[in-house]
Amino acid sequence: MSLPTKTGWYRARWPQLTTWSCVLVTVTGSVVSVYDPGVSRWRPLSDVDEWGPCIDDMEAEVVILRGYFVAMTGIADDAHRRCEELRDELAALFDGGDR
Amino acid sequence: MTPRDKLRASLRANSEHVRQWPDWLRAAISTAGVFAPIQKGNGNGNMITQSIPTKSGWYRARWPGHTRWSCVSVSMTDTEASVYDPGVSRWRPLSDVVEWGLNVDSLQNEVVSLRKFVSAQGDCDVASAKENANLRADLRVATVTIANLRAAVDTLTTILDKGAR
Repeated sequence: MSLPTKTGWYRARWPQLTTWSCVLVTVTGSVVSVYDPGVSRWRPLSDVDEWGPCIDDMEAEVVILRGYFVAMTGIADDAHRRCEELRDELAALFDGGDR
Repeated sequence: MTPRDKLRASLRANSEHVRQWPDWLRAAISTAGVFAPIQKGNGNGNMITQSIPTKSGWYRARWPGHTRWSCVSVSMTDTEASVYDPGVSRWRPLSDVVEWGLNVDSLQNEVVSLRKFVSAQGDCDVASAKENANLRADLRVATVTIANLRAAVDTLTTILDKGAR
């Protein structure tokens, strides 16, 4: 995962810890720092062992994906209904042909 | 296998494919966990949709006097639920937070699930378009075949009628 380049909340893993935290990153000019609540001070990004995704971006993405999900489910339902209709039309034709 | 048998077999296969769709959609819905928001009153008689921490983890939260959202660590034990406030370096009751947002772990899982759904949906769109095209083609063949059969029956009936007269 790439290093943060903009201000916001990120998932991060501090050294010696196995669980992931959420950290605040700030960009001031060319300086990018991460706030460590454990020592109540700002530290360089390199002090974090592993970086995860930007939480603000994830929140925005999930809204878009949920909208897409709802829309696609509706389209799939319509397609399903259309398939059922076609199946019924075929069945009706068989019934007519069997007379 | 007669054309009619082929048509019946094709119809059965298509129907089976269509029957599988709802399960697939249900699985996607339950994995994504999209439709399980919690509603609560906002004090003005209105209902607002909001997640309330129900387990330990990281959550989006808004502290009093702040317009921007933070991420906070929530701890749940059998007896109490608290939120860590790094501003004062202590644990506080959940009620000290003005507004609660999503659980960050769930958010991350949901994004992963939905991304998979979107990716799978692309494949399904192609598959369903093919199935629909196959069904329409079957329908056209069946219509023509049955029209021909009916015409043949009409012709035979006419011949038999003439013979009987």
